[in-house]
Amino acid sequence: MRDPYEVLGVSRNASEDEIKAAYKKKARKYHPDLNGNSPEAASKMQEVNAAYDEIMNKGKAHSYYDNFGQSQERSAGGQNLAFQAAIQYIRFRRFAEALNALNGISEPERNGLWYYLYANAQYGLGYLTEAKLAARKAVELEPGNIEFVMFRDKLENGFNFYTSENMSYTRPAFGMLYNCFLTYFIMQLLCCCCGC
Amino acid sequence: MFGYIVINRKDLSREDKVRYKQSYCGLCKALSSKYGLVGSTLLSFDITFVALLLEDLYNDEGKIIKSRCHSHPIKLEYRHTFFSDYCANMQVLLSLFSLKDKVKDEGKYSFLLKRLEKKEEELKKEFPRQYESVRNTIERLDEMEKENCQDPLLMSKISAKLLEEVFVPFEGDIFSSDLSRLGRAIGRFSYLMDAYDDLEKDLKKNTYNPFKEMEKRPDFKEYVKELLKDAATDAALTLEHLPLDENLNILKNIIYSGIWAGFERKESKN
Repeated sequence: MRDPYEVLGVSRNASEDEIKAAYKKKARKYHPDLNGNSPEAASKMQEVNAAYDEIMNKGKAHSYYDNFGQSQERSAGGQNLAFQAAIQYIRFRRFAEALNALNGISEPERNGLWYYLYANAQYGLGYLTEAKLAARKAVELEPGNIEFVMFRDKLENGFNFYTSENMSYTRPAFGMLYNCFLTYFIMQLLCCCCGC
Repeated sequence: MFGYIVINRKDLSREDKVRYKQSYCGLCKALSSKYGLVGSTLLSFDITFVALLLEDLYNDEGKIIKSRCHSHPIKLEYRHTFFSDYCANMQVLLSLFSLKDKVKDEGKYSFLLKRLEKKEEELKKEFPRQYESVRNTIERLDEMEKENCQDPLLMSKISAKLLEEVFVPFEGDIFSSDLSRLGRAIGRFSYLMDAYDDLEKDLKKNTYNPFKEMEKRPDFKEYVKELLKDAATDAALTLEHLPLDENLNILKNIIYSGIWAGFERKESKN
């Protein structure tokens, strides 16, 4: 893979703002409206995305994109095709397809690995609660699996950043924000009566 | 829409409050110019979030226009961008289906709905992807409600899809996967918060609520809080991942703090 800084066109000591600006610029360049749906544009977008992720993930305790475990591929070598398909889908961040592949696997075959993969796919789509539940189940079924334990722990405890950030704000109050809100309410009543 | 995606005024700088208002008023103007005075009454804070998000992401500062309106008869300054119009359309799309659903449930007549339905074909033609997504979601939610689904996780997952496409103005562009993920997180949070807020009323009136069964649990409140926090956390993760700058403080204020105002209000009542 090319050097991520080179892909984005920034120097190694670029600030976060400069990185974001560069990413936005690249996004405009590879906009589907300008490039159609060409495979070249798609792969360029993937490269830019991967470069941005790598740079942004550096030094962050909670990484947005999980570096999906290498070891799982080896252990799934003997498993059926659906498992392999799910792993590949997750690798390529096609989480909805991964879930489809996993749902095609019958209940009796849903082992620790199945729940681990399910958790990853749910997490990829942003369904944190479902991911947590599945990760817990994976550990329950295979308590000795370090990768499963680490993933579960990350989901359970790895997002304290949210609570800390939340506490740095004053407690919010729920009330009328603007005067226009009241005016709109009145207008709404009026408008339902007149035929304008 | 639900109305929980609001700012925490206390912690927003003066400049940011001005920026928020400029986009908010820009949306109002876009709504009234295309949909009349009736259209402007549909304005929500939820769609303002989307406008601020997209305006920042696509570097669309638009134009600042000095004008006046019925709420600001002397002086008004609003910002008009490409996304003022896009979000105005999205607001009408969402209000249309939400009203249809309400009228079906309550059996009342709505002048407002009749007015909006005139624009339905146009919206469907211009935004087929978003139209289908909103329609399918409302349909599915309806079906599940009829079966009295008591799985709030499932219901909020379905509801998450309500905003999935609305958050994506350009299909398949570099930001589309993050934007749809953020849309899902916001959709999920809003649904859960709304259901939690309405629970007492629904128990009394014996109307549908996904939390009725769960309410009996001793740790019910903690459970709801965890569900909400998970959705909010994912929204925050996605927000932090997007290359936002101009409106980042405002959006962070909303995601990290403002969205909890409804929950706080409910807490203070009990």
